[in-house]
Amino acid sequence: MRRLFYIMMLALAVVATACKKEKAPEDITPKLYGEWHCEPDSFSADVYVAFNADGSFDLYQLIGEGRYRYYAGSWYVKGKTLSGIYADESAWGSDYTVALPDVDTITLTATNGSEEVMTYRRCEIPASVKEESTTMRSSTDAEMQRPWF
Amino acid sequence: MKHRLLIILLAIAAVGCVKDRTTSPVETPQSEAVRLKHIGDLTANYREGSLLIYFDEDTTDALREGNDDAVSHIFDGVALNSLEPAIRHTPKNEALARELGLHRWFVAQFDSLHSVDDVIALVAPHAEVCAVEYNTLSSLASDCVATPYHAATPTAQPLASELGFNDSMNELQWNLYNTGSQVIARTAREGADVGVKDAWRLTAGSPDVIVAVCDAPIKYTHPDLKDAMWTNAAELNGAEGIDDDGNGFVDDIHGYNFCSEGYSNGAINWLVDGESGHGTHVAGIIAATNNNSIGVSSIAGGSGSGDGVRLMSCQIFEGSVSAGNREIAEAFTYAADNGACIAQCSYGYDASFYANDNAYINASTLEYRAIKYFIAPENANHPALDANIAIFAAGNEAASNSDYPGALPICISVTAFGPDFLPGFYTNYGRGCNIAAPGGDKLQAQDGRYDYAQILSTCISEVAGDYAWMSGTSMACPHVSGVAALGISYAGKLGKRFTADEFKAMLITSVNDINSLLTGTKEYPSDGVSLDLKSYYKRMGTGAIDAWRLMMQIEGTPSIMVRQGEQSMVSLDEYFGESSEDLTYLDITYDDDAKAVLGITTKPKIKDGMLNIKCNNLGSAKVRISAIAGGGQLGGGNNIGGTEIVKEVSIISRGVTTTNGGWF
Repeated sequence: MRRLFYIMMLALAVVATACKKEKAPEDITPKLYGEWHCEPDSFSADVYVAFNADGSFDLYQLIGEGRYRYYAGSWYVKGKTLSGIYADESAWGSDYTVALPDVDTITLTATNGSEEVMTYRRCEIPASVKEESTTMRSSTDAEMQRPWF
Repeated sequence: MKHRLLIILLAIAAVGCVKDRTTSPVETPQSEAVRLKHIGDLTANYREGSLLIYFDEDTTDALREGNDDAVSHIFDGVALNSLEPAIRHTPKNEALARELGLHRWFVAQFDSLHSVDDVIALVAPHAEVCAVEYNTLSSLASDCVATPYHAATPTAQPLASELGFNDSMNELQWNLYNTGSQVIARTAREGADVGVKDAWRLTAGSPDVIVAVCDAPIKYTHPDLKDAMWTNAAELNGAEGIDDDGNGFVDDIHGYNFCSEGYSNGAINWLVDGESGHGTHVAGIIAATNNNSIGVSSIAGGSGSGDGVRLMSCQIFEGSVSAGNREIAEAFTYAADNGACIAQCSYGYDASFYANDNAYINASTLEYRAIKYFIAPENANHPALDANIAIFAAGNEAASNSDYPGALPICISVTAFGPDFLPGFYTNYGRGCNIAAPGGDKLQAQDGRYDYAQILSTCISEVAGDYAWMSGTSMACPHVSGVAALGISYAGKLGKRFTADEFKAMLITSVNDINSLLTGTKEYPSDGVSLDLKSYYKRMGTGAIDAWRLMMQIEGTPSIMVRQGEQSMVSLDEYFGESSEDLTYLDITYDDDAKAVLGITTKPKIKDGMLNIKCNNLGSAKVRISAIAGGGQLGGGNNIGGTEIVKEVSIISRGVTTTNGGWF
């Protein structure tokens, strides 16, 4: 009887351990909250993005010359994959696999086959960037956020 | 008739004997023939009692040294009143003036008992005379009918307060901010304006930008213009009747009156019978003082703190007296020598007058070379540009090509649209026309009123009140000049510098599309007529000028992102304007480095305004795209056509691209 008791206890322990191993993977979403900066080496671009906790993003990009252009939209993470859509309902050009080398760095690797990798560092978006990018044509709010291509 | 034919034959024989042709405008048999045809053109409108003569160097030197005897035999039998240099002074750049041969042109004034053709027949045979030219008269590009201002009832455009300036009449300035109000016109269309409202957040002008208004006089005492005038401080503070600054012109405080038949000996004069207020109206569109609580707003009239661009009055029309080649030529050299970086020219020769560029150049050589003097890099007058620019009205004959000189590729020719974004019934269009701007359309009557659909601007109180409506490509032209002045102001503010070709290319491509509207007909119910709009399709220039787009191009144009390894089709709108799909593209070029960096193996193409390119490598580089601004063929030589514009387009080849240009 005592032997049966020990066997049952052992079985419970095994089950408990097994359950512990099947715990859901860590949700990295909160680690992406905040403002980030990307400055690629291979061409002239300067990109700031804010991943907001409410699932929206604010993107400020200067590609080549001119002024920062503003885009908005929504984002989400599933596992280690970052996905999103622009406010004008344009799809992102790719999903991205997220890596977090440290709390202030993320690397996004495109999953569209290009394997493009961009590194983002935690950085407060300068007020001048926000102001410049929103000082656009103001006839309508929609036009303020109109893509330029 | 036989007599005239004999004169022509004599002239042909005479010019055929000319020895010195090295710098003569009649250097080739072909251009000579064109010139001679012009001399015999019975339809030519030229100044009687006046002839332009191009002497050889020796005779020129003798005359400039005061030795009039050197030519006494040439004018034997002619009651000569005067013979003086056509361009009296070029103090800033004498060497360039000589290089262009400007110093060799003289204007002979003689008793009008002689016909000009008679005098040509007498003087042309002489070896010292290398060429002769009518003092051809031009016309203002407007009907010069000014309708005095009256307040709108009901309020025309209540939202005009959004313009940001407190000028009391700007609710009627649909040309600056068009809300589509039907008080303005039955068919008014929102956005059919010059797009300046947003640009004003970046700049409203700069006093170091001087616009020469080559036109009827600017009333420089006008309450909305007096603070916008260029002022020659040396003359203002100098002695009356003395050339205080030594520029060759006496008392030229705000400009000069070049009319050789003038009544005022150089003084800008608007108190003459026949004065219409045209020049003052044009000036107000460019730089009437903004935010001073009175009158109208203007494109580059500052923000109310003395920061608007400045206006130089180069008077070439006086009352009903039209400008001749000589007066115009001197206005251009004066403008260049005294600081103007834009020549605003709402005048021209009727579209039917010159068949092509050569015809104009050979018949109006003096004027042509004076324009060349104005736009020569040596005479650049603003640090943001390496040369000055000249902007002309396309003309009002409803003809399918531009008037000259605007049709020349070295100039910008402006067509006109009304508050409905559709062509004005009068506007020229087609070959040689480069860009469109608000010019009004008085036939768009609203309840019998013919005013609001025109352009409201400053006028002359003695003519039609301080403010009045006018319409024409004359009014469209200063919109482009104003936007150009605004652009130069902004470039200066940013510390940027462009070549004149770069700047003109940006200006001409800062446009909104109007071609998509050019189908069907434009109806004028009050007059029972209509326009067939398809005649204007792709023929109004590159599109409708937009000040905001120019500001963005001056800041810099973003790169185009394409997906590495894939055939990409990308819009060129941001580089060539919203009508990019309607332009004629000439070529795409790139150097070997760009080819290697981007991995281009097949030459890119452009179709319907879309760049079709495949980049096999990751990286970025620039390609150059050339296109024709205005029409399907380039001007020059025996053509009349558009201007070549070249844009450097930055390409980024990366692994991720989006349809909206977003980064992710």
